[in-house]
Amino acid sequence: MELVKVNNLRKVFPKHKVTAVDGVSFSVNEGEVVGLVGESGCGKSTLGRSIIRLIHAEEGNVFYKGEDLLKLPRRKMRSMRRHLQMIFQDPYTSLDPRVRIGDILEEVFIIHENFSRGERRRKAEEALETVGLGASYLNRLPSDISGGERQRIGIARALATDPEFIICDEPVSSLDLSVQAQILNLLTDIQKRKNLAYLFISHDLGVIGAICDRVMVMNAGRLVETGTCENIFKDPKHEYTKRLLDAVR
Amino acid sequence: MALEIRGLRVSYNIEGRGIEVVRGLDLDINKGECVGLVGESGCGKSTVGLAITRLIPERKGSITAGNILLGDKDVLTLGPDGLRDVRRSKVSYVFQDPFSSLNPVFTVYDQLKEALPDKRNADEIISGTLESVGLSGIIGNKKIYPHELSGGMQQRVMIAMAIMPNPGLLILDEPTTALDVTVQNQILDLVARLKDEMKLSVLFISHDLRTVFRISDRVFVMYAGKIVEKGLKQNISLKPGHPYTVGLMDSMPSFERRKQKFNAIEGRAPLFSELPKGCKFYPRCKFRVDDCALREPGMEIVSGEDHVSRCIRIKEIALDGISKS
Amino acid sequence: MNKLMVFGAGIVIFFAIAAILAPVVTPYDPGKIDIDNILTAPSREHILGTDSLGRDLFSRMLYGARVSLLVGLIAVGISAIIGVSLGAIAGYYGGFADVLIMRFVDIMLCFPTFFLILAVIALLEPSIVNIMIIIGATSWMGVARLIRAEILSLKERDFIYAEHAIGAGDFRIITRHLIPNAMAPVLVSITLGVAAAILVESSLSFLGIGVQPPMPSWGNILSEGKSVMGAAWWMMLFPGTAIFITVLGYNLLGEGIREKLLKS
Repeated sequence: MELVKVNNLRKVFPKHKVTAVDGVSFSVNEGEVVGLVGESGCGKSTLGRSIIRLIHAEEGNVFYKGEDLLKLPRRKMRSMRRHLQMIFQDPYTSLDPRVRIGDILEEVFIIHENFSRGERRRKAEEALETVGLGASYLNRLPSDISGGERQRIGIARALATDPEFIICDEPVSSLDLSVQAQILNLLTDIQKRKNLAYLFISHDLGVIGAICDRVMVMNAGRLVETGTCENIFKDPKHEYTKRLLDAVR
Repeated sequence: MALEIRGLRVSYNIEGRGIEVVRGLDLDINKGECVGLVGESGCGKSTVGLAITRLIPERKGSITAGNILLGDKDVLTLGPDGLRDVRRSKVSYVFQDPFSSLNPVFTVYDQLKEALPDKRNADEIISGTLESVGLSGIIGNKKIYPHELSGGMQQRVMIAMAIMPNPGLLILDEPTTALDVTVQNQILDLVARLKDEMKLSVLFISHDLRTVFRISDRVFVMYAGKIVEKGLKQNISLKPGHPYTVGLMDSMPSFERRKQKFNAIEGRAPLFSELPKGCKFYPRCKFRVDDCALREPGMEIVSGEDHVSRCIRIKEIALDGISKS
Repeated sequence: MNKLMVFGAGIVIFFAIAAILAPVVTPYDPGKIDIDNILTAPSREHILGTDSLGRDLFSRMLYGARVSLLVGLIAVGISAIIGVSLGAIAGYYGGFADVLIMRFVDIMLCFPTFFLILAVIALLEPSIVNIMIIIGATSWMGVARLIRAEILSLKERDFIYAEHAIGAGDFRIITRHLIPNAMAPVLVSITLGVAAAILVESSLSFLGIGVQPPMPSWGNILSEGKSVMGAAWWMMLFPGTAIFITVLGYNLLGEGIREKLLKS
């Protein structure tokens, strides 16, 4: 079933006169992992952020279960956010450096639930366990832990609201190879267990090929080719796709 | 031999204590050879690169033991003049982030000229070098500033700057990490071509196995401040001889092994302040036995003299089979 | 740690303790007039001497410290609250709010502050509360600019996007995440601001339109001392030195904090 449908989305940065996203349409089904690949500056991050209204897009629609997110009033959008989450690229900048891990996770429940203090703590511990960390992390600051552990916290935060759709914006590209494999394993496990849908943004076709069902190739603000992973990797049609593929072979 | 490092030890001052991050490292580069030094962040690989021309800031740390032989000279015994000569014309560096390596207020041309030890015929040499790094397009324009170039072009400028003094040894520290994959390959191909044309010896430092395998003749794998495996590129890539190398190779995502769980290395790299006794990889190793914890293993032969690994179990475990299982 | 910063912090703490403990350590009531002992030089009974009404200068100095420090701290508190709120709103919302607030800042900066204070005090009653408010209300612009600049760059950081993504509201984002992360440079500005506020208060009191006698403040003790300068050197030396050292202390502390922040 279709979960998220993006229709003719367009984002222009007027200051630089750049059309970062130029009329993009696609859809993501329930429980599907869709890869979005392109080189830096192609607009893939802007697209991801526009979908969940972290960046304001000028034109287009984003339907989540039939409801147009871009037309929702701010207050309704805020409560809607629990269903659509995001994991960020840089684990060093995506956690508030002054807030303890436990408080970072509890904040999600303060915003969306009406839990007591004890319940929140317990939920935060549960969230840590989902990503393979223990309660000992609750009182630590982001600066006390490694990049891979931080990225796990980022994932725990995104999962805390029990979303159905997660935008993963280059979640492993700033990690070491061995940590990258651990995080990809974790993301895949969780996806299967909770039947989540991912929009997985990456510049690395290797990563995309390893975990995605479908791939969309983006260049200069447009989707130049989309297809199943098999089709794209075995029989690329567009010149740009071929170039990207050559680069990882 | 272009470079020979023997028993190198480097300590950093961390919270008032001297902590050893390079713990007796041996590495050699033949003339005209490209050696890849691969390891994950914090394993000490960049420190090795910096130590070669003694670029480690004194307040941060110091080289405590070893020899670094560059031709017939030991860099560690050189006086200020000798050291300056080595840095100026014998060894060149290219670092990860070209933009922060370039000065934004000077033109690219001026900075290239600055890098030239001998300013006679500067125009000619610069235009020749720019052409050889594939930047002939900007030769005509002396007024180009760094920010007007793409990341890939900036890195080409850095390479141009590095090869202009005609150094014997070129050290590249994560030169492609900040670049897109397609651009990475162009830079790698450029380095490979320059190496052949100029008979350069290259030390290629990276955490990225793909780029290391693509460009290197021989590969050194580093873990916790020591080399754990070295050998010819084709030997290591076909038949890795250390469980850590196996783990890294199994961590490489690819379409070919799609939808399989990564056979990831467990846990995280140990802190230098609390290294385990015995084999430093032991706590994370899938093939560990009790003996591994007793003492740090020496280099054992995997396949012939030139492919060795710091693992006591290579004889019992056919490591090449493991990555496929 | 920086030696000068420790020195500054020492001064600040010393005067703060002296002010707090004033009722305990002072040997005399600061308002008690003693006609028999007018303008006596420092002695065993009166370690800093007495003033022209025979009041113990040491006691008056300590109570004066209470007033001067209180005025300094509260005035800066007011200025920080105004500056942080307006700066945060301008930086976070941008657009029209930003233009409005920042032009207001520009206008406020056009006034020669000290004369503005003089004019306002001339209209109002020169009470200690009025002085605190007026100093606070004319010194928040630097803080507003600092906070705005910090927030402009912080709000583009991923952890703030992450807050939006989990559905956090503007108020939570501003108060829990932006302001705490933007406070470092403001802390420096606030510390230096205390020194400036103490100077302004002293100047006003010296001119007779600040803290009104008989309530002692370093400024008005100094002012009294001016009329008896030839006869009683201690009446100017001690309050003058106290002002000088306190201001120095806050400035050293502020500079020290700035240096520490720059390093990290």
